[in-house]
Amino acid sequence: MLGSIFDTTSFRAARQGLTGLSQRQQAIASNIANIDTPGYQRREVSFEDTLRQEVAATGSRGGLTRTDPRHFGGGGTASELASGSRSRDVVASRNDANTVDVDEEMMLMVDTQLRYQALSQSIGTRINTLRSVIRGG
Amino acid sequence: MGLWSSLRISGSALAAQRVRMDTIANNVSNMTTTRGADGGPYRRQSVLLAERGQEVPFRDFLGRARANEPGSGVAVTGIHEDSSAPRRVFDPAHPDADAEGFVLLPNIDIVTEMTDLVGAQRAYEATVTVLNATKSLAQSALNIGRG
Repeated sequence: MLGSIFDTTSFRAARQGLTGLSQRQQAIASNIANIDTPGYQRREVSFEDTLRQEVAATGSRGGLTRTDPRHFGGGGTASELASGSRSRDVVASRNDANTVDVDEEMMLMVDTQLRYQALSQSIGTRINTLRSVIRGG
Repeated sequence: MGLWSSLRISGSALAAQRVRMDTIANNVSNMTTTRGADGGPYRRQSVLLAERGQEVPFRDFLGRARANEPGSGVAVTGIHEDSSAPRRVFDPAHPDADAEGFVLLPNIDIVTEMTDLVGAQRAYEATVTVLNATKSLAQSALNIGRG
């Protein structure tokens, strides 16, 4: 019973999201660490698309199913995350062929930080809800 | 895994930038050294940086090694000696002056060293910022389910 409480699609998606975001933070750390390494190509972690597909494939428990074309799409946590994925042609603008742009990395880092906080807060809220159910109010 | 690796990566960057600053300090303090290790004037040194190879710590190896980690830090691969010609300054009274009265001084340009120093400093600061961000991620992960 307890297993199924923690094994919901959204809970698993949130957990995968945290893992993905911490991997992204690692990529940013690596990019900043190699800011003066000649020829370094910046790393990027994108997981949102895959996560969204996974959540969609798991079935209707994750999100809302549209039964009428006039309904709004019921986006779950994963589709909100998806706005972060992007592709970009990186052109080295420096003599040493390094493609790290410190401003961009910093913005991405703040973005990652906020998403991570939001996700961990939502997981925490859910756990607290469960706790208050267990205690009986 | 994720956050711990990030901390290790940032640590490697801090160490690398510190070596860079040490080298610059060495260059500046030897600006007028006419007797270096090889007998001639001191030669400008610069740090060579390279991306650190994929290392797999033992405990990661135990718990299914990750083949494709997003980055693994930076390493100092060596200290390069600048082979450009030394400065020639006319100073016949100097004990190291040659027959024509010229002294060979190190090939160090103080402006280059200073800009390099600022670069190292900024890179260090950026790394500290990343380190703090990683810390705050770990903090919010630790706060899950508290209270």
